[in-house]
Amino acid sequence: MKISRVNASAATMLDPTAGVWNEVESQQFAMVPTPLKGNPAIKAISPFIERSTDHGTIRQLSAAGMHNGTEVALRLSWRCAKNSEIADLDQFVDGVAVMYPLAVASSAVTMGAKGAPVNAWYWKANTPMEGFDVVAEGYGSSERRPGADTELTCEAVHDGESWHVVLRRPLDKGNRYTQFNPGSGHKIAFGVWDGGNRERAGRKSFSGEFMLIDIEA
Amino acid sequence: MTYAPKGAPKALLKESSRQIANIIDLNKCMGCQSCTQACKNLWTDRPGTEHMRWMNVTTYPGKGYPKDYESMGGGFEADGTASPGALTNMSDVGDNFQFNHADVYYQGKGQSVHLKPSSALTGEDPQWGYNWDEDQGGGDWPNGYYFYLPRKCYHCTNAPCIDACTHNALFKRDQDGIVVLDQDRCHGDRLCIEACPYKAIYYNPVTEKSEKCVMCFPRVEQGIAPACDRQCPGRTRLAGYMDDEDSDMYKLIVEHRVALPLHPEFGTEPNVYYIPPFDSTKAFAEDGSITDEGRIEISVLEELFGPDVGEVVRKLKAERKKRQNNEPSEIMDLLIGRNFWDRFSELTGDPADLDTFSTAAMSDGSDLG
Repeated sequence: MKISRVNASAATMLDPTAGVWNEVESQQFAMVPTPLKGNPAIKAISPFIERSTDHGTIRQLSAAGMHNGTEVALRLSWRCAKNSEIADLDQFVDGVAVMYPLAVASSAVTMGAKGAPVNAWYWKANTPMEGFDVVAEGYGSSERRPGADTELTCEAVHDGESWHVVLRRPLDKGNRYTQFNPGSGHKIAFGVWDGGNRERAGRKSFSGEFMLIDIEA
Repeated sequence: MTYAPKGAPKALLKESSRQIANIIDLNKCMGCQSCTQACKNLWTDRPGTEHMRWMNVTTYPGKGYPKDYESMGGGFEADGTASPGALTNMSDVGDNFQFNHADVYYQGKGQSVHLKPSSALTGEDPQWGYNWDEDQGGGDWPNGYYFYLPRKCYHCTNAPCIDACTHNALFKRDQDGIVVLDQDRCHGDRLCIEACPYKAIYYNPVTEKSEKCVMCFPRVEQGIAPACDRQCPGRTRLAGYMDDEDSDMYKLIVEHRVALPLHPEFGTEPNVYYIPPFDSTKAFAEDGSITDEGRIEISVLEELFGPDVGEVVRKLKAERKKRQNNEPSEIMDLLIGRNFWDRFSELTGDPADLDTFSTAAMSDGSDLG
């Protein structure tokens, strides 16, 4: 996957329907259910979620990325019925997350480890304009902060069949968070939750271990 | 434990130096809902908590609160395996009825429009609500029967909610074993609600976090009994610590073994105990004569309190007989509770003296909301 350099305003980049998104390459990623059942690390943090077997209904996610020299934006699209309200107490909403390593040794599969954290951007469908900035050092350790802390901004549309979600942030927010350096590589992973299938927390599909991406100079 | 870091082992989160507990005497509960009101006024009058009744009293036999909680799953299998259950919905937890006050009181239609509730969720006539089946009970005519079953969080020794939360938002307080839910850590995933077989945890759709009975810990810290216990006009309640061997509560649970946990088969080791109803209204025989047998079958009580309840009922009846014969019975004296204060051992403080600005409650760094 490549994060392309574009000549577009931050406002245009944030619009999932903007024509500029047609000008950058998007890539399909295979998504798989997170391995919960029989996973001792999962059992340690919740023997109840470890019993889950019917999660991970979303198997494909399309991602594209761009930056304009100051802001970076990712557009994520996936087919899913729209679950955007918690109208009743047993309902969950759709969500998506993009994860980056904060250390060379950080693993996406374990959501980081002590001393090898990961940073993620999390979006959920009932607060579509707000993202959350997440830092984790292993399963169950995630700390969620308002996206406003890092100027993470979101916009989303559901076209009747699919979600199209843009997450945008300044390229550089200091070394506590993931940094995007044009002209260099980076690593990325994805997670997606189908609210209609009561997916939340570890009940989701994910793209596996971190994958290399290029950030165009 | 105190406030453990995320990732701390579940066993550590379940440790406590002391354990607070309760007894509720089902022979004395008259279903007045004073405990329910005491709790509601103190804890669940905030936006998003309208449907919650951390303390509740329903009729048994009946669907209970939340509706049909007994068949929703949760807790542990016999071998200790985690057994996630279903989630409760707004109707199950009693809805949040909306009333047509404006029509009735302010539109000049007071003579033609009647006050009526509608479901907060559907806007339609409610199909279920808190105590919808009050006093229906069970049994066949002419031997119908019911009793009231007050319930709250059981602050279980082997609390499945603590196991279920991937963020370790739930833990036992070291000083009293109260299970609390840290609002800062909660992500609203509701795994705890699936795990709790008593469905004593409730989702707040406004804060998008779950909430539960806190056993009135700010009162308990100042030696004041929880509000539901203190407000009971029927003296059904005893409260205290399980290591206080001089307390009336301890004597009834441990020495005399006449107080039993609800649904011990859930495997959670609850810390609220019940005195089973042992002397229900006498049953009619087929010829219409009155028998010496009560109307509540032991099998009904065994479903609630496990296989030991028959022995407990026999013991309680024998003790009652002693008193009827003018012989001493410590068990009956403890159950009667002539001195109100004896029922609360260390927790006899006056709520009027409560220092509501005490920060001790939060001194462990957690936000218990």
